[in-house]
Amino acid sequence: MLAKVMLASLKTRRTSALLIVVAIAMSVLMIIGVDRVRHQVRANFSSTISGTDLIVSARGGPMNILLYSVFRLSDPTAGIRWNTVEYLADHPDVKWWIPIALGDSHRGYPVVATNDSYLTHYRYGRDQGLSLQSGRWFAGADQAVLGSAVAARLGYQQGERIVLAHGASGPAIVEHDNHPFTVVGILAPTGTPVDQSVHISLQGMALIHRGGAYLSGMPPMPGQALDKPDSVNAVMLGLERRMAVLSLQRELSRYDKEPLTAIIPGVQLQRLWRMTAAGENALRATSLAVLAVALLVLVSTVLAALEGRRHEMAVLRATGAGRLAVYTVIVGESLCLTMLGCMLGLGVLFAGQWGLAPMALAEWSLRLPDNFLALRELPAIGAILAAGSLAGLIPAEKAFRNSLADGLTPRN
Amino acid sequence: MSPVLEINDLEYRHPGQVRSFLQVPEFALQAGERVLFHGPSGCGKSTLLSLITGIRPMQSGRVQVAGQPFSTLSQRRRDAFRADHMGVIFQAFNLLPYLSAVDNVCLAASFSRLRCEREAGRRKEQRQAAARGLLSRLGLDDGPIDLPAWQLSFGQQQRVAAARALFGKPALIIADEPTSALDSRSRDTLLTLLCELCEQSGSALLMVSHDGQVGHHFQRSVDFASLAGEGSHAC
Repeated sequence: MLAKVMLASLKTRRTSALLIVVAIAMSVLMIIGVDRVRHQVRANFSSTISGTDLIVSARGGPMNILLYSVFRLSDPTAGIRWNTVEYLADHPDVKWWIPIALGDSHRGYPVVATNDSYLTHYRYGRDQGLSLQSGRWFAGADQAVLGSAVAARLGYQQGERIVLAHGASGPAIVEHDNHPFTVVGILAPTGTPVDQSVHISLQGMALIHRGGAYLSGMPPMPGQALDKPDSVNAVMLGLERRMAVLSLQRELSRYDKEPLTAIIPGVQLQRLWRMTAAGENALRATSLAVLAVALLVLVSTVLAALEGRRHEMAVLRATGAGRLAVYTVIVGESLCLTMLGCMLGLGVLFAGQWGLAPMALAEWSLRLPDNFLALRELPAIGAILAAGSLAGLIPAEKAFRNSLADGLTPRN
Repeated sequence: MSPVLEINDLEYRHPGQVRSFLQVPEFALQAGERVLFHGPSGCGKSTLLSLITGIRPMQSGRVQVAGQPFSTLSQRRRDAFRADHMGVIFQAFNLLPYLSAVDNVCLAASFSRLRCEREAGRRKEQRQAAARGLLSRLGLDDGPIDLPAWQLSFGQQQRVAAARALFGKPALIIADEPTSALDSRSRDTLLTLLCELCEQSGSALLMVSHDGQVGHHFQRSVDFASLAGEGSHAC
């Protein structure tokens, strides 16, 4: 019966009730939405690279090595010599290796010179490998494979001829325009910096840096080893046994031919993420403020509506309603509104991420979550529901006290 | 047989006031008796009813209802006791406007198992049937009683209020000027019906009104000023 009273009463005040529901839905949307983006950015971030046990580079700061070799954000320092690369490739602990040579760009997108193991061994996320969305992997010195975002933003198709510029970013000062590349393939989206990269072969890199002329004046014969540039910037290593990571890392730091640094990507990713925690906390504080405002709106609206409900309360009290019944009607109402608000907010969020997912992946390389509600969001939802019903406690107590002061006939 | 309502040395002053607003040294209402308090507006009739029903907390004195020392119960027990033993009718705004007449009558039963069982069984259909029966005895037929209460005429609303007060045969019906907004014909119709049903269910009726003309419906008509003893403020 009380539920019927509550619902019927709510129905007569449906406009203001709807406004409260929308306000709560908005704050749920903000809180859960911000939390999901935060979580997803973190997940994307930590899944940028996986499966790689060590990244070897010339001696330098570990963070800098991570930034340029994985995120292509910072400028590479010195290179490592090719015979060191060969030493690494032949090392008994090493299962696979990916050379990375940087330093060129195409319209702001970094160019990565590498070999076939990049396609076969590079892993991101939960052991996901790269795949081609269209075309094929490069097979010659004048062929390039684009990351999905590069192709989408610049509108390139297979067969497009592109010119690379010297320098990692910014306006092209020196263009390698006597050695254009042909786009032969486009990678599928990954949500990692791979999407933002242009991939060419090591031969290609070697060629453009010699003015586009072949060393011998002749195109290389098949099998002829032109796949040997002077140096590369980093080598990613996959090991036979993960147990060997630390010992190999120690061994390489004592390598006597040239000074090397080997980093464990997972460890550096964690450190980098911790550095960005301040921004994350700011986001969280914002969403808490939004929730506080929504709950204040809830309390003040219920309080304001109470003045108009004095008669209603007097009738209930006179027919025998005690404190419990008054509380049930009013707290039940705010709990109902909060619940509806939560459902609406989650629904809109779900629809939004469903609608935006393809664009987010293509434009921002961000994978959106596809769930309606995650387990780790339950505490937040629970807190919102609890706060919503607690917000009803203040008006409920006030209604009860009003009825004591009003007696049988409420003042108007 | 003990009186259904007994008041001793009741005194009430508004918060912050030195002089007492209301004093009732002694009053008793026998079971099934119908008594009218009449007196001008503003002399504390409604305040007295709030104290008797236990909605407003007592300050000093004693009120006994159906043999129970009502005024010494906790607020929670008083609320439950009121639900079980009293029916209340106001001057106006008796009903929850968004519920139907039948649901408004059943509201009384939802707070009191005792009244529910006295009038009908525990099941919802039985309760609704009993409420319909009561409404039809008060002259409301099937047409209006399923409409939301705000669509009823004022006279109809007061009859629904009377039906709710009478539902489950409580020992005491309290009425606070229930007829003051009605014309004299509807007033007499309502009071006749109310008195008749009170008699049938054995409920005592205590009504306050500024209108002494309705006295002939009651066994006893008491001037409110004479009820208050010496020292009470002049009405």
